[in-house]
Amino acid sequence: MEVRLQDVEKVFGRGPRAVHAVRGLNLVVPAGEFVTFLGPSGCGKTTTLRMIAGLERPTAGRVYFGDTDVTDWEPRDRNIAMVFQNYALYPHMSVFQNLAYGLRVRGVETGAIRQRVPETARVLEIDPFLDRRPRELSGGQRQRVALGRAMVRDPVVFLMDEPLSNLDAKLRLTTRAELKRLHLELKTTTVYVTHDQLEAMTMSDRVAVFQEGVLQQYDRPMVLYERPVNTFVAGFIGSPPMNFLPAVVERGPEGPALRIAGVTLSLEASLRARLDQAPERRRLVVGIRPEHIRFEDPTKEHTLPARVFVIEPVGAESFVSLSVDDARVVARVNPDAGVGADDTVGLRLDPRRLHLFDAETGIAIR
Amino acid sequence: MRYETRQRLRLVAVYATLVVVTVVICFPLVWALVSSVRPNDEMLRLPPRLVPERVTAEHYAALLTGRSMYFEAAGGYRPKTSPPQHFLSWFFNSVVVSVGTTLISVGVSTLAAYSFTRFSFFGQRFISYFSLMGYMVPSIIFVFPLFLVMVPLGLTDRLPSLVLGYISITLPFSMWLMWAFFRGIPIEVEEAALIDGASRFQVFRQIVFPLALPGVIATSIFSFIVAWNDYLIARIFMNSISQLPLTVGVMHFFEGVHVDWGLMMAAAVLMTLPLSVLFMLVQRYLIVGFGAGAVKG
Repeated sequence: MEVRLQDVEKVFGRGPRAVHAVRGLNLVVPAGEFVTFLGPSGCGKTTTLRMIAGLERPTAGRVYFGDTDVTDWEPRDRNIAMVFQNYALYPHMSVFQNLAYGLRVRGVETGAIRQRVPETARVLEIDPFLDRRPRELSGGQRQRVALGRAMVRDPVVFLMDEPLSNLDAKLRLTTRAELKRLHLELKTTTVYVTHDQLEAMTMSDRVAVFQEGVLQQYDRPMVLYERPVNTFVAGFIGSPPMNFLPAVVERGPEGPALRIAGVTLSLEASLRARLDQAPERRRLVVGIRPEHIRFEDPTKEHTLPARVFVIEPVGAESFVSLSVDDARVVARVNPDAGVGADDTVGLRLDPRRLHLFDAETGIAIR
Repeated sequence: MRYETRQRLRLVAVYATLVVVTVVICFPLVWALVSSVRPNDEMLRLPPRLVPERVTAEHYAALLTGRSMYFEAAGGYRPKTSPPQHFLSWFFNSVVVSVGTTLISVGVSTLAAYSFTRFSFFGQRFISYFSLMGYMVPSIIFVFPLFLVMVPLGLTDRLPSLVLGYISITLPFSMWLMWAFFRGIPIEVEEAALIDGASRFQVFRQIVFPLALPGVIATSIFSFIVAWNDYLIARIFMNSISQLPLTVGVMHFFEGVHVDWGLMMAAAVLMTLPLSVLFMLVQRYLIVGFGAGAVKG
């Protein structure tokens, strides 16, 4: 089922203390896709999810499921399922009853319940615990029960509010993969909320990045990674995040070039074209991802002089923090790069991988 | 001194204190129980003995059959207002009033407290905090204004006046108690049920109420005890001997200089019985906290 949000606004409270949680939101979750709302806490992603669920009413705008306007529908009438961050299991019911509750209140026959609940439990491997109460289960098992409660009803849309954030790191990884597999099999439209960009990148068909109630960019994960629309998205996607360096436009014999940290970098033809109209001395922000920085001899041309601040080896690779003028830059390099703290190195920025942003607005220059 | 020795001494001291406290608390109860089966001629004998020479059920018989053995012995003369004959109606009055108070108090406080935690409305904060103020004021301050309210309502000397009087004491605290319990129930559990397809009322009945059950029981016990043990309000509101609750009625066993200790103690035992039974039945639910395991914790 396609979910469509049209000009949705949400304001909490009234008067001077009102909080504008979601602003002018237009977004379509295509049927059968796994869409993630990504952003820092308080960015409006959970509020948007709750408006799809019907737990919050939009202050303005409409919510559509397919062609049906469900804005004024109660949550129970929307045939959705939701997995909460803290699982929100019914503590006084057994696992079986937890799974069966939604079927029971919807008047599904006992015989059908007896069949469907164990089926779902088997898929999630919680069938040995059907008689237990939630408090007798581990965190991972509770999480599966919460998932099972959503699956057993065969809803038109799955809503998940940071379902993995209460799991320990290892379990989070395996569950992440299982969730993705589950979506491949069920093909139910899923809206997933997280502040973890890695979850968003790895699981989603599309990612919507929110900041302060405004949708920043909504696209496929690789597009967000390769073509972020502004510095916020660029800085939020990727770990370690994209590096930003202040730069000014210079006019050379070959056309526009960039001056960063006292060094003039010549540009690729495509970037030069983007800066064709830019006036001399225009201030920009250059973005470069840690994986697109190479170390060179500092005496070479077109390298930025940098001082190694600290080296963080993570095994397969090392993150090297460097000082470039006043800015801090992180490079992702081989663990045998052969540099040590306080070494001076030259940074070669991959010219095809440079991102240009306006220094004032942070908007990407295309 | 060695660590083990010190630990052992500490344990001995703790248990000694517990024993003393237990004896001090239990002695009056034991004495009441023993005296209730002690014949009258042994009652005031000196020195007092804990174990009676002869055990009798005559006090209980008098209370439960409504006959006073003194008047029987004096040739069958029975005055109309002989106190023991009212014992069963007093008991009945106490039960009716206490159960009524408990039902209304729990019913109203549960719904009110739920609305405090789950809905926002004008004056919400004020009402929830102010309600507790009523409980801070000694109840004797309320008694006379309440009595003046009962008069035009024509409720004086009738059991409903007692129920209303007790509710005015129990409701604020019950509300506050239930409020605390409801706040402990994560709202997501209710939202999950709403999404699962339950109506607001189903959520309350099938999810919230069972989770708040320990609170409901605690509130019930509190209300029941207040109503069952009250003396002040009943003393002022009630007149007719047949309309009294136990607490005030039993005081009629003091007749001038004569105190019928046997009847008094038997009545005391019978008064304690319902509360003890109630406690034994529900204490399990008081301890069981269903709340654990709902959310990550």
